Amino acid sequence: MRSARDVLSAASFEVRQFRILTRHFFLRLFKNDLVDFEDQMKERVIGVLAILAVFSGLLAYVYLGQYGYMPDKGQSWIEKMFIMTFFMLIMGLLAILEWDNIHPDARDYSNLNPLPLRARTILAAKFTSLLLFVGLFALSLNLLSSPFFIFLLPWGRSPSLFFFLGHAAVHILIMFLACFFSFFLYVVLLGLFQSLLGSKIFGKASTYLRSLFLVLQLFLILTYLRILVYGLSNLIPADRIANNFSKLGRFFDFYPPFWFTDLYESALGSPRLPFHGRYRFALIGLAVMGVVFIFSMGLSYARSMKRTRIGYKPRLRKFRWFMAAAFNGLFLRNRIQRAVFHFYRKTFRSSVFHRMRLATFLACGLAFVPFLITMKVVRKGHLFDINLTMLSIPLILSFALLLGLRSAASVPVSLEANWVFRLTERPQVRHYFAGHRKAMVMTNLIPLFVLVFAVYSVLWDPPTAFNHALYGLAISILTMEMLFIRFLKIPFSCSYLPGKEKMQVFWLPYLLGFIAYLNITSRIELELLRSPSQFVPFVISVFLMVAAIRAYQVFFLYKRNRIRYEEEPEPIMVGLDYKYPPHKRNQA
Amino acid sequence: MLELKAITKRYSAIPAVRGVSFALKPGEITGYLGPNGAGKSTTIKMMAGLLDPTEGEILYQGHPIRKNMFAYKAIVGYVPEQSEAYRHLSAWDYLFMVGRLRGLSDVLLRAKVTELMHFFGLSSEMDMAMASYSKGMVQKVLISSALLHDPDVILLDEPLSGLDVTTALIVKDLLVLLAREKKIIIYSSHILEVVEKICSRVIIIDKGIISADDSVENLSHLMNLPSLEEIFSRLVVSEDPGLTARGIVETIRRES
Repeated sequence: MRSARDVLSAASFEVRQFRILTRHFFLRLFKNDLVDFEDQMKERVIGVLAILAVFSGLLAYVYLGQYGYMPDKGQSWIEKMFIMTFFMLIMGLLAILEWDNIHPDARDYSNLNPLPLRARTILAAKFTSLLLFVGLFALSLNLLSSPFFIFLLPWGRSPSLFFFLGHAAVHILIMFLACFFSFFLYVVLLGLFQSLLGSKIFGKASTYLRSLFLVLQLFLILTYLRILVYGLSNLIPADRIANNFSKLGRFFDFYPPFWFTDLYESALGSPRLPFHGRYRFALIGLAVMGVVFIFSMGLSYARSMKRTRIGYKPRLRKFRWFMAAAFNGLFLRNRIQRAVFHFYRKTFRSSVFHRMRLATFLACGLAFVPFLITMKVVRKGHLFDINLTMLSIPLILSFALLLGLRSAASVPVSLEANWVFRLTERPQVRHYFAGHRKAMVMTNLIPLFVLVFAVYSVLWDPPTAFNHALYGLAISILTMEMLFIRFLKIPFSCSYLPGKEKMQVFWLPYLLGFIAYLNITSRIELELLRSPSQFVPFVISVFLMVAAIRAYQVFFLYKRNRIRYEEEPEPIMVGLDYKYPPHKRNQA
Repeated sequence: MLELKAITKRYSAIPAVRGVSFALKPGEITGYLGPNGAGKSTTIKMMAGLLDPTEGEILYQGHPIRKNMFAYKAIVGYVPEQSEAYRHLSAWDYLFMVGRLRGLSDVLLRAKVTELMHFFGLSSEMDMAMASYSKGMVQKVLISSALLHDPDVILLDEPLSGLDVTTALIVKDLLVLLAREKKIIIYSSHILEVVEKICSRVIIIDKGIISADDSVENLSHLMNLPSLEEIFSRLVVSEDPGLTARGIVETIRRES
């Protein structure tokens, strides 16, 4: 029999382990490719939290400011729902961005399994760390917005101090619950997919699922911002809503912010919103999510205990070999190009991290497509017409794809193994980069524009769709050459310094540049489609520009530079070098 | 002949290798010994052209390697200390990539890789990602990749690490055969028995400085010690191993 003292000592030991693990998992949630050092991490996180706090505060001020002058008799549910929608969208986006860190991964298990830790301690610590993480963001969302709710709304219903305090408590509780619900909805979806598909299939499908959810979430956020700026009537005319009011109830059945608004109003005791009763969905949803979360986390843990072997036995080896030999003989005659091409292709095929990174960029581009279609095209009934919006869609996608490829290729896969490139390096530098470019064109750009051709053939006629796809491909190749003009790295083999792009500084010029790029290229295409005979000279001129860039690289850039394996950090202090300015350096 | 002339390597200001000089002859297997942090891997990496010496010169056939690094690297085969490979690739893909970077044709590579994988007993696993391999299996792939192009200079940094007994015996015999083909071989290891058995010459490095350079027989005769282990202990080991072991036991037993 164990004495009470032993039991207490074991319990306190487990609590200590729980605290250490919670801290470990919590900090892991903040580690991503935007930060490299812990102090930088704190700085960035505080910055994001501050932006969220200020934005939600402004939102509350704009929508609830009116209740400083007129009493709220229960009509504020619309504003509450609108603000809650924003909170829930942000929390959903956060869950998708944390997709890989939500469940303990193979690295966690391999490090934690040998230690004397109970499964319940690991799972409880993971759950608590997620709660703290969501809580932190929920706090920032509520920090500046809550005072508007707490101080402006209750006096219209009751002057009692108890009502005031109760209202404040209800507000904070429901807002936090809504945030938890939105975050854990994706957590539960992730767990369900993992449980239903099994780790092997899920491993392959995960990138696509995450991208799909990211597209959906970004589309919803863009639509939300559109409503915020132009109003709901700009999207759906007010008379249409009034005429179909009964259908709105069906919509609210599937609209979680409404469930929580109903819960909010019901908790205050005087719900005056239509379709009352949906608060039950919120309560049932929270309970179901709790159960599914525990179940899926447990299942994921049990599965991780089994060792899985990665790999497969190829079938039709001879056929594959023949096809590969034919492809290599046709397009990759140089052996260095062949090596880099296949390294690129296989890294993308097997590295989930790199696929995820590419998918994130692509999802941002994809999110614009339904947004543009629904906001600009459908309303005017021009889906089948040739217009700037429809022309710009493939360019948005290819630009997002190219940015994603550049970003993914900059991050190394097994940096310690890059000695093999350094040891086998040969003087023909251009072949390494040619292999990389061929890989991007053949495995990414051409499939994209084949898809574009197929889709636009249905929308328009095949010859126009062909011209459109050809134009997009030519422009994309030129854009690729521009984006990679000074990219002197073998993909995935150079060290990476996060934040070197300085996105936080240059985002505005990049955004303006992107808008200008889209406008100019779409307008040129519109003109070309009006006189298709001009297409061939245009494509030739684009390829001449590409050839000029390659000539610059081969005759100047590659002669003065070698392949880069180590990314140089930005200097801590940038000197003005007044003694030897650039134009006098050679003389000096 | 591969010659190191007063090679020094400093990381920031800290010297890892200090004024190391020796020459490696074709047909000779040279054992390179030293405790952890002595500078063995740094020397081997400099000989592979992966690190530049801070001072000194490395000459191959009398010419500084830095003057024609590409030509020199083409005749070097290198097995790194740790299993540093692209583990997301299969053995087949990895060896094809290395072979192509070395300029070998696909037809030749197909034959070489198939046979090497057969000899190393990896035929059934060669299409699996190396992430699922054991340390020894990755080591077999790395040894294969170092020998694919039939190099003249073979640099081995702990090549038997993780290998099973049979493969270790194969590698030892392989090195003897390669030495007979007049290859220059340097073999860095902690396993003194293997070095004693296959190396015709031994270089011992400690704290970045060469402390012995001769055949095992000569060293044994000069120092009047019967085995390489005792020679190594006399030259390198400054502390009493028994005393250190007792200290560790006391530390792990400590309760407060």
